[in-house]
Amino acid sequence: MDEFKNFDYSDVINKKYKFLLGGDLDVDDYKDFYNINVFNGVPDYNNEYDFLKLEYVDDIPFTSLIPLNDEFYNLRLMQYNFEIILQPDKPIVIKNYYTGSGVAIASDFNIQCKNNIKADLLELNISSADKLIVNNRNFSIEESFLNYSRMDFIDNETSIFNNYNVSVGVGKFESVLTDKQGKVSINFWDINLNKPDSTAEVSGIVELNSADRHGNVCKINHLKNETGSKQEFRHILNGTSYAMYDGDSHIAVGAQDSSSSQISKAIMLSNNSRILNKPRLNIHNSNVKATHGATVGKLNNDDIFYMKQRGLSTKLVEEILLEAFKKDILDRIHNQEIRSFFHDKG
Amino acid sequence: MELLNINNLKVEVEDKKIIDGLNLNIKRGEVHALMGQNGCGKSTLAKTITGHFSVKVLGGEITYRNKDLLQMEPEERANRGIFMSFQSPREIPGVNNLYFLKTIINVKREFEGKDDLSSVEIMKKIKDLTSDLQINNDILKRYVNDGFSGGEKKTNELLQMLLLEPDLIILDEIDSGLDIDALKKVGEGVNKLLDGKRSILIITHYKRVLDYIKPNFVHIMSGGKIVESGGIEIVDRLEESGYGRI
Repeated sequence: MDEFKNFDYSDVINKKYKFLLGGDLDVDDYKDFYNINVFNGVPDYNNEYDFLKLEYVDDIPFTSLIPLNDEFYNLRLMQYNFEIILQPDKPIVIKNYYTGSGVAIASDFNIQCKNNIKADLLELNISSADKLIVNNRNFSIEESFLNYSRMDFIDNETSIFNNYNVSVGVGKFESVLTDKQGKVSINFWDINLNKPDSTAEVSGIVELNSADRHGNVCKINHLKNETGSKQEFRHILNGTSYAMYDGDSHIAVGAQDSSSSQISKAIMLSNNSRILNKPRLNIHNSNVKATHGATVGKLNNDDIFYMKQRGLSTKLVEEILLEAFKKDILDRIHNQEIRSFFHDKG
Repeated sequence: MELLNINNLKVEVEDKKIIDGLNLNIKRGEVHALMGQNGCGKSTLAKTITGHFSVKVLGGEITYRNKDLLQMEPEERANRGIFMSFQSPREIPGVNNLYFLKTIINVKREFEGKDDLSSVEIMKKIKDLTSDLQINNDILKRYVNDGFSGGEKKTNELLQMLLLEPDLIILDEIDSGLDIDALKKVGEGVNKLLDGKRSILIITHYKRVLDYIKPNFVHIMSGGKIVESGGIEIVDRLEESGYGRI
């Protein structure tokens, strides 16, 4: 984690914040989804859907995979269990609305998916004024398949830190995240593949401008045999932005016949943007398949010329090539409604 | 009527002079073949006409329909009717071929001040062409040239060409990577565009492509300039004696 220390976000966490919890807003529902609205970390949900059981757990001490200042650790917050108990026939959207300016908002949700459930979950973060958002999401998947996607609609003064703890036991967790807004955004993943035949795929698109900073820190632990993981992040960096990918696949002694891959690709649109790539494999069993790689470059001039020779302007060519760069990742979203949402709003 | 006029053109690529005092005039409806050994400057000429980023023009002029071509961006040249079929068409993963075809048609129409064609109108146009040319419609669903065979790539170039209906077609080594049957198909496709108004510049090493697309003029290039011009008889002579004589 030494390299992670170079990712400086002290300006964000050393600010004094007023902590905010709960609230109310008049919001619209998305018709193609089951809607769960969350206002400043507190769900506005009264178990209206029979497939989803929500339970308030307790007020708990704040924890985070991302080091923050003492002010946060003195905080207590409300933890909620979201348990998907029946097969939903539509995707679920959790819409997190954040209000206030110069505030910090923390939320902690346990999302459980057990007994042959296949669910598609989209989470949105919606904020219009500067603040710090810390989301703890603890996923527990047993003999089920959860597709989790996230998209943010936040301003460029807001920072967002996401702690993802994932436990998979005979099942599959797949995630596609897009990070394109925010002053500092970090996704911190800690994924445990606890039983044979468990897999996790984490994919992301990172688009940064100006002086945005973004980090994807992803650790996947293969604890049992025949487990599989894939990490793939694609970055489009402009301005003086800074991105970091720190990937770690740990394959334990007893995890024979497992497979793991890590890929990071970056297109640099500016000479002043930077990326730190650190894909790592930590293998303790000789009978595994593991690959890792990282590429950094600009848009290919010959591709640009080919398309200009067909009459397209440089601007249009760049737009098309960048969309193509993102498309592979977005196409991994299984659910048609969520995939369309990303294509329309992304 | 003159379409392209190249006068005393001098070009370098990566600080090396490749074209040195080349002259060429192409009138509407004419088919010209440009032949020469590897490295003589044939493909550099094609790149200069189309505005490739690697080319630096040191002197001379090119006019296209009496306008200064060298002042135009590559896309303006394309939209004014210059089309190059690439020797090695680019593979562009992630860009759907049908979407690309629809985009280039409507961008050209917008340049010409015409309304966009609807998706239905474009599809009809494309399907008519693929049916006429016996092109498998699967190439429309795939990414642009991605994983295409040599023949499929050249066929896709032909499809773009027929959709854009250019005035000046540059065929850069169109026969490379093609078997006889594929070359015949491409030749037939190109000939569909020969209506007495469009012009073609064929760049090739070999005679075989000229069996399918008949040139009015043949030029031999050597040392960065055209050293001999004439009719098809030049090609027959080259077949016998090779480029060494030049």
